[in-house]
Amino acid sequence: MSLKDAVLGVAMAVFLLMVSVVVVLGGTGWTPSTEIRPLAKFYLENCFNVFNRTWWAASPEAVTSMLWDYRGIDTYYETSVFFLAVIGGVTIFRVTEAKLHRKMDDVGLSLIVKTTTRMVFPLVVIVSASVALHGNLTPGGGFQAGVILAVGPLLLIAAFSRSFLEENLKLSKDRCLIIRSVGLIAIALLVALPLMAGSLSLMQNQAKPWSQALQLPEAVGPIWTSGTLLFFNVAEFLAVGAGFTLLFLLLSAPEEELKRAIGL
Amino acid sequence: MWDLIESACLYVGLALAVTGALCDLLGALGLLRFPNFFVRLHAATVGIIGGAVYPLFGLTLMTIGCDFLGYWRWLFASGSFITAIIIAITAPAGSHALARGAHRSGVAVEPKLCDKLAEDRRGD
Repeated sequence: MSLKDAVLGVAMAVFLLMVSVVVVLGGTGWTPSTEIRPLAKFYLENCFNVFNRTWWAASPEAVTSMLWDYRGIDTYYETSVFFLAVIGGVTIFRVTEAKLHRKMDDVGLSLIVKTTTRMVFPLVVIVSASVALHGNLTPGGGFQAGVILAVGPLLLIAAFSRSFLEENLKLSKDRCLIIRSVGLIAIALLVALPLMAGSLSLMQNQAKPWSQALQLPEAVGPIWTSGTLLFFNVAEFLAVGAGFTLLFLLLSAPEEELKRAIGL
Repeated sequence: MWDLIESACLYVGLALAVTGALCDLLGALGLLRFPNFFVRLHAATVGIIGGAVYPLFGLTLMTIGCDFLGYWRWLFASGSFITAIIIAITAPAGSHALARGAHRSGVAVEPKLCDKLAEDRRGD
């Protein structure tokens, strides 16, 4: 053991000691209290209060009811931020599909990885769909489900190739853009729906005492749809999944191809 | 009879969990002490298959054996069973891709007894 090792060991011990002293003395900041604060109490009491439906969101999932009902406008702006980010990416790589389209010598990874990817890809899609469709009942929701969905095309790009995605699955850049736009238009329509039906508020999920104008049913038969929440989740699922797939397609384009297409 | 099956499930599950802990320990030691990338990768996969898949199968058996969980034990059991199978499918593919990529990009197999893959490639 050299002197350097000894100094390193002592220094690490001193560092650990100092960090633990800081943590014990409360230097990491304010520790949240174990009591539930009034705002949280409001959400927990009202989001699925079947006895007093004045403020309810018709969803047992408090987080989803906050995201798409009580604080819906905030999520709407978040979706717009993501929309602008993807649009920015598309603008940077502004190359038409026809110019990028050249038969590459695609071999991908080995047969073992390809077979495993073939087995895993359907599982990824099924899990993402279940997270989206159950988002108003269990933890999860549109954004998470969309991100899980985008893992599938990413695996295919890594194991097979970019052109496998574009030719065998017909999932081209333009098609991703169309799916994403459909999701975003659906969200915008759902936001404006109460306004068109004569209510005064945007994104109204369940009827309120002062505006009874429009109310989607909280359940269709045995399926609990929680008014607009299920539709918001599905639309966001499509928008986020297709948006991330679009970004992965653009990022995985070979550099020489891009340069050639732009004309460098 | 059912009591006997339950306790058998519990003890087999516990044994699998202990095996998993041992495999994790051996995998960590191998990762530190083995001489080159490929055998270290082997130690890491001992840690994945032995240290994650075995304990998850053990957890399946253990939850079946815990009757105080009631109806919910089938939920836990099926969840850990499916997770174990998915890890058992995907982890070998990942380590295979790593090893293949490392060999193709010229990571030295040193010390070695033989390297058939390099001989094949030179033969092309």
